[in-house]
Amino acid sequence: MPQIDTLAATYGDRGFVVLGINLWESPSTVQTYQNNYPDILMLHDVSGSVWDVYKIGGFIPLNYLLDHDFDQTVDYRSEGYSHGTISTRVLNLLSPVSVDLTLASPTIQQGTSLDYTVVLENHTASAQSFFAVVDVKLPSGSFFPLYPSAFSLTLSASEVKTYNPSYPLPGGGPAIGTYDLRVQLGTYPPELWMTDSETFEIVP
Amino acid sequence: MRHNALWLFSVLFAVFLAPAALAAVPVGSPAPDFTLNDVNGNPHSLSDFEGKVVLLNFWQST
Repeated sequence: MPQIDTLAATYGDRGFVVLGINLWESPSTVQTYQNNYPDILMLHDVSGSVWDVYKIGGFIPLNYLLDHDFDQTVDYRSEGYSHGTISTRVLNLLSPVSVDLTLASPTIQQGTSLDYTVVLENHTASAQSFFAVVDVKLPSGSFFPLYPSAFSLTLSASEVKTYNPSYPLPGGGPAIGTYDLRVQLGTYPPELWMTDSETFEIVP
Repeated sequence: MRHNALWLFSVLFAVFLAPAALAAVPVGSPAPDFTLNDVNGNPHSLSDFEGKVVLLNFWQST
């Protein structure tokens, strides 16, 4: 668990997430581990229903490493405590370009503007061409593209680019509620590289 | 006798081992979606993390 927490902390800003799925134990045990390993998102499989789908030989711990594509394809799986291979594989899977999205404010007044910062970083030693798509998840759960929503970009080797877009909101709108701003990087035909998202509230 | 043992083995395999083998998710196939709660009772679905490299770590404290 400590090695995995370090891995999550090291590569979190490049789009790596660890879901620590506890099997059958008490909420207080899960809470203690969440406090001790804050970079892992602890989840509780009380009934073992997810375990039933993923278990191989029945050994715990069990690890599944999933790619960042739309299908969340299984790249690697292992039973037991060996994590050496996993860190190498995580590095290989990570997107060549990372996106870091931050909002100017998590609460936005109707009729003002949605201001945010996007930092793109090329982690490779060669130029990378890709698309960035920006959209908003509405309180209803559907996605709304922010025009212009798709950008064709090229970053030279190790280049870092920062954008500070401002999207004006209509007077008296949009509806009060919780929204998610999302940036997706990828290529066409659709291959998803990396996603980052932030939650904001629209207030009167 | 040997045939009996073989027969017994295949029954045991079918009953105990095969379901576990079928249940696991092979390398190269999509990970089935699920929803579980965090320590604050908030639900998280695997599909929320599309576009991230995800490590699922099934664990117990003992």
